[in-house]
Amino acid sequence: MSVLDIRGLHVWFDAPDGRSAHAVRGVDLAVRPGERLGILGESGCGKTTLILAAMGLLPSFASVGGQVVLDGIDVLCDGEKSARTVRWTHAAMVFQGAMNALNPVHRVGEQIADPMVFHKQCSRREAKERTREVLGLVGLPASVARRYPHELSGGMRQRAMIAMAVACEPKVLFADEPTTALDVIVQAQIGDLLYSLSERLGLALVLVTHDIGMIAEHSERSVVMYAGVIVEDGPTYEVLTAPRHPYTRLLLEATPVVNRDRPLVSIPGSPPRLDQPITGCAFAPRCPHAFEACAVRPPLTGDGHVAACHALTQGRLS
Amino acid sequence: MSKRQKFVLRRLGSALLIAFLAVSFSFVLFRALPGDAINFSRVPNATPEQVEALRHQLGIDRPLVVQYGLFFQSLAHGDLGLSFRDQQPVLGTLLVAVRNTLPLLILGTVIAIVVGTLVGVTAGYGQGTARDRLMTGLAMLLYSMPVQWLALLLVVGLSRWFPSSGVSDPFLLDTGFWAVFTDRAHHIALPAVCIALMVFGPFALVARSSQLEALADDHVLTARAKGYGNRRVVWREAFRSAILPIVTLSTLTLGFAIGGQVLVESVFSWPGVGLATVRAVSARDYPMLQGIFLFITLSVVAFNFLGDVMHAVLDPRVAE
Ligand SMILES: Nc1ncnc2c1ncn2[C@@H]1O[C@H](COP(=O)(O)OP(=O)(O)OP(=O)(O)O)[C@@H](O)[C@H]1O
Ligand SMILES: [Mg+2]
Repeated sequence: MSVLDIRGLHVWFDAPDGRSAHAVRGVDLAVRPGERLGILGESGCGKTTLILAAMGLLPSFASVGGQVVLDGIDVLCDGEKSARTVRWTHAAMVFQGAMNALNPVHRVGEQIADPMVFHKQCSRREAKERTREVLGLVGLPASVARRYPHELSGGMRQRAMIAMAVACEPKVLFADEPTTALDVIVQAQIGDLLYSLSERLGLALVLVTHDIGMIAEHSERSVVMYAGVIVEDGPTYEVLTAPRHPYTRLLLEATPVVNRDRPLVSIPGSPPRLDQPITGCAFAPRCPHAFEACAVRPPLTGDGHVAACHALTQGRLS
Repeated sequence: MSKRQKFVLRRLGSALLIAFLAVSFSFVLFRALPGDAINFSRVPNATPEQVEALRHQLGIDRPLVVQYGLFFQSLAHGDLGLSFRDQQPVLGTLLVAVRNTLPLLILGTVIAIVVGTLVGVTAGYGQGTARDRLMTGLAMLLYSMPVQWLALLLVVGLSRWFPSSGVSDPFLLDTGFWAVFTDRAHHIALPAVCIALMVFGPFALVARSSQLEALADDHVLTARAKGYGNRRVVWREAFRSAILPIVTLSTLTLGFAIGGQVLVESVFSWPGVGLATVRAVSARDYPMLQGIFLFITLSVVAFNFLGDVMHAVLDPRVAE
């Protein structure tokens, strides 16, 4: 039984000029309770779009196909009303804009307590009590409840945001680049915090980041996305040490690693345009191993550690 | 003392300073004008002795510094001098005019501010929909329409049903509450609607654009992720955090509107502060003008201060 089940998800962003960008092009992803999953991929490959779709939060000009099941509710089809009941109570999110993700005019405490009362999980009194509790959980003093967001540092704000996200005891926490815009020390602290919360609360964590170190440390499973599809999915240790897909290999080689003396490579070419139809493997034009079969889109194959590559299945990769 | 209280006190200090400077400026302004009160008093062929006597009577033969002190002294007593036009105390006339302007202010301006804001926020929420385009178009149209023209349209179109001048019917015999009330309501309808239409435009436009900006903020996405419904997201999260420009515009508008609407009051012969200004100008009634000038400056300063206080109350970041 998964806490999040995504099947055949497609997302198109409809531009006013009639063209549409196919940002997510058929994604299947199931997340088990308590699982920690990292999503890797270069800018624009659809990571944020995937998460927003999973919460049913895409803007109205986006068209969505497929299925996203959270707590038995299909957030795309069962209507906005029932989707709202699972937001924050079943799946919560912490995202990129840590600085501005809190409402500047309400006190931090109110912002943590309000959703509990809104979702009728408890009375306002109990919500206040629980607010202190979760603030403690993320390592903030209870007095932060009375502060306004602008009175907190970036790291404290992100902690407050995390406290907010776990207050309603969700089963899944999406963290979309939760540490960008924070300094390195704080980044590490936030990473550790997310990890320990996920362990203590049995929370499934979906962690999107460009920081491969963070994925290596904090997630047991890794998913690599390219141009709106998943190209590799497996245990983090295997994906990072024995990547199967040519894209993953290049992506890892293109990532700087301290203390390791090897030349940095960059992947030649650029990701495909999403507003034009993509046939076959999207990575083929940039792939050193591309051959005729790549004109057909490769399925994810493998057992436990899957990758979508014809060259791989035909044993052409050394 | 909290940061907010300190902020409010600082603003109060500067409001008082500005008021003092404005009052002093009005003193200087009305004395720097060419000629003095004698030129305007109706004393044709006066002998030099008579002129001197008059100057003495009006106190304008004294040194400026003394006059300045006396000016503040009489202000403190609420004495704004006598009108040149009818020799009545300026203060009394001014108060009557203010009393006539107030209902217009409340019915026209305040209601239009509320409605304009509601409409703007709703339009901003459904950006690009037919309703949004209709509302924005209407607001633009009203905003760009000259007031006097709007007023004339109303007079031409509606004066068959509503009186187009004055505050009440001088020949009304029935003095019962309802009769008087209906009569007043009839009279105020056109000018109030005219002012409302004029004020509506800018508020709808400003509310719409600040709402659009707020809806794109990250914290609104957080609010939606929390599962809040539309109404809560639009009002308690987005609008609440984007309210400052509307507060600023409201206090500015009210500060000026209480000084009367010169054009509207002229078209509808509404004996408010605006019309009093027109009359004073055409009669070269300097004491009256000075009184009106003082009143307008003070009300603008007061409303600006009110705006500052509201900023501090509504947005915790302001006091920083
Ligand atoms: N609101 C939007 N309107 C139009 N196109 C969008 C919108 N959001 C995303 N896209 C497009 O969808 C694609 C995927 O974007 P997305 O933000 O999901 O990428 P990402 O993987 O999160 O990138 P990053 O690492 O930079 O955050 C991009 O090509 C982007 O241009
Ligand atoms: Mg992103």
